[in-house]
Amino acid sequence: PCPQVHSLQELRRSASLATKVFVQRDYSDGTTCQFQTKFPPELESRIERQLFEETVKTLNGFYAEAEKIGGSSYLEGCLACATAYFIFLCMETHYEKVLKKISKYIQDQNEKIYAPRGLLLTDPLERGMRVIEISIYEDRCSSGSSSSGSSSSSSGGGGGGAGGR
Amino acid sequence: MTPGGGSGPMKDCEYSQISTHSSSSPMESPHKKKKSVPKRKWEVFPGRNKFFCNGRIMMARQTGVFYLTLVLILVTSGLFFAFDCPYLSEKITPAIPAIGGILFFFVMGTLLRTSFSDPGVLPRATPDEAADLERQIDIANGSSSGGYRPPPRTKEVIINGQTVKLKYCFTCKIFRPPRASHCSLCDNCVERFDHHCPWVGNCVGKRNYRFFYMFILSLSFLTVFIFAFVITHVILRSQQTGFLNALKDSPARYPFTETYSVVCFFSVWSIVGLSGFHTYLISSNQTTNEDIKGSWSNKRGKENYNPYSYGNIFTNCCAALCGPLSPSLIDRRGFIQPDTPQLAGPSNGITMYGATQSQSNMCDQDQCIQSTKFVLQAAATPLLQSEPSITSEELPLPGKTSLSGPCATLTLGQPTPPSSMPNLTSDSGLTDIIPLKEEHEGHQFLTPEEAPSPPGMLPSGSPITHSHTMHVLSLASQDSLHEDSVRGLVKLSSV
Repeated sequence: PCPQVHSLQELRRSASLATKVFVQRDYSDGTTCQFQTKFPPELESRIERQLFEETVKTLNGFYAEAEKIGGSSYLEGCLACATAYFIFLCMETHYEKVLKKISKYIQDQNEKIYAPRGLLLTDPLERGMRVIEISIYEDRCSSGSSSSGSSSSSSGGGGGGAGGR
Repeated sequence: MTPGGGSGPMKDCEYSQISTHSSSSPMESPHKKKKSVPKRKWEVFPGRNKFFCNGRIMMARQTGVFYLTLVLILVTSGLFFAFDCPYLSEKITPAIPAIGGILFFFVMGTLLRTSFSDPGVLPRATPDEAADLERQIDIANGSSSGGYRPPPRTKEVIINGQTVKLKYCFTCKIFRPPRASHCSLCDNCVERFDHHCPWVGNCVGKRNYRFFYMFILSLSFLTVFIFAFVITHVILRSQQTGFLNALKDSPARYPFTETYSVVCFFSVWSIVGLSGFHTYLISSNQTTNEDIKGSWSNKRGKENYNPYSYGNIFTNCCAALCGPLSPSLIDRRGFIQPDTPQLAGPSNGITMYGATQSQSNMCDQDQCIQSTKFVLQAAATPLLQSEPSITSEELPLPGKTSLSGPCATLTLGQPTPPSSMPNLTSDSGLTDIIPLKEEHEGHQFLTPEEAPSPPGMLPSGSPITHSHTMHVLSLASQDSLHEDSVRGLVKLSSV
């Protein structure tokens, strides 16, 4: 079978999108932004469980940091209020700073861990902070694996669709 | 209307774009736009909002009452500064107009912030997400639906020991996060939805609640301030010259004084009352929506409590007013990417079947475009620079369209099958599709209706639209290729 290791450049040349997995939000802590660390079954063969969980946990940590209510956020809030919120026109909020960090982290993870395995993470910010979208790419050369992948998922989909009807 | 319009002379392109604007698929127009500016996302935003300043300002559709608010505040304050302040600053202290000025400035600032900012709108689901959710719901429901309508979709979550039901929004195709609600006036799901306020011409939600509260608080102070000093002014004058003479003294002012005293008087009571109410809401960490529905009241049961409250009033207040401000999720000023539609509405009927693999786009060609886009997007920052040739490589795919089954029935209660080119259509198709259930609520101060249980399906409509869609698709797909090869490298900056 074709070697599964890709760089992002190779990915774009040779891969086709097979499916997407969505990691949903975990609301058990309230409205704070946290994602479920449950390992999606579709990724079983693609990536080690521990790597995935670590990624999600780190992201959760970032979001918790962004939404943390504490001394510095109060200060920022009071200062903003005192200036009738005009200060937001020139200053970046703490949340925005953390979002930049998150974006960088995701890119980093993609380059180092996910792209070599034919996966791609999408920043949750682009999906309304609802899901972490993981795109799974199939190799063009390993047409056997892609057809088997598609047949299994389409049969699953057919079953699901029939159930819904 | 030729699909390959891009190959014709420039004049033809523009002419045909204008003449078939309403009926042609939007795939064609972006293609012609390779010579013009690509669209920003606010231009195709599916909700009922108005945008100004190229997407920087966002308001609800009906803004008439907002202008009334502005006029009332400006006129009342203006008259106060013009007629009462000179006298008062002489007689008592110049601090009066100074403080008044600061208050006025604060009121206007917070009002404009409340009205112009994004209240916390949740973007609608992408077709892939929607398809994935639908599939999961199908699996969860099993075959229990049979012949009758499936029950409304809800998910239960335990938050801080309290069971909270998350409802599925049929318009936005998402499970609403806790405390979010769908505003029927703006047709958006809004996070931590408080209410839709016509006075500020916008919804009040997570991102602008603190501005709203500051606005009504400062407005209370301002109205009380103005009212008090107008009375003081009249009293002082009447001490000098007698009460009636004080009023007669400046005949031009007489009607003004009365008018804006009356305005002030009524607004004092209503605004102070509203401020008091919202102070209570903040201190108990509830939204107007929750309070009106009695979601956390003890009347529902002894076990019922608010899971979001931090336990003490001070923390609740600080969290609401000084907590971190989350960013806008709808990226109004970003540019539209060539492939993935911004929302899931019209494409839903097509996406459902065999759509388990994100072949939620209608055919493999679109899928490849999307895949190319994703790859390019992710890789774009340091790595990728060009090669539109990629798209042409990806394109000649096996022509199997997965359209065989789609939109035959819309089991899950989508009211309208796609009536227009789903892929890049965002606004026009969807607004037609918006079910009537959202329309009928007129009352604006109270919480708008949430989506009721799934509306009836229109299976009879689907075969017709199915064929129509197939036709449109074949035309459109060619253009999508052209267009994508041009636009394939527009990278979303947020990646």
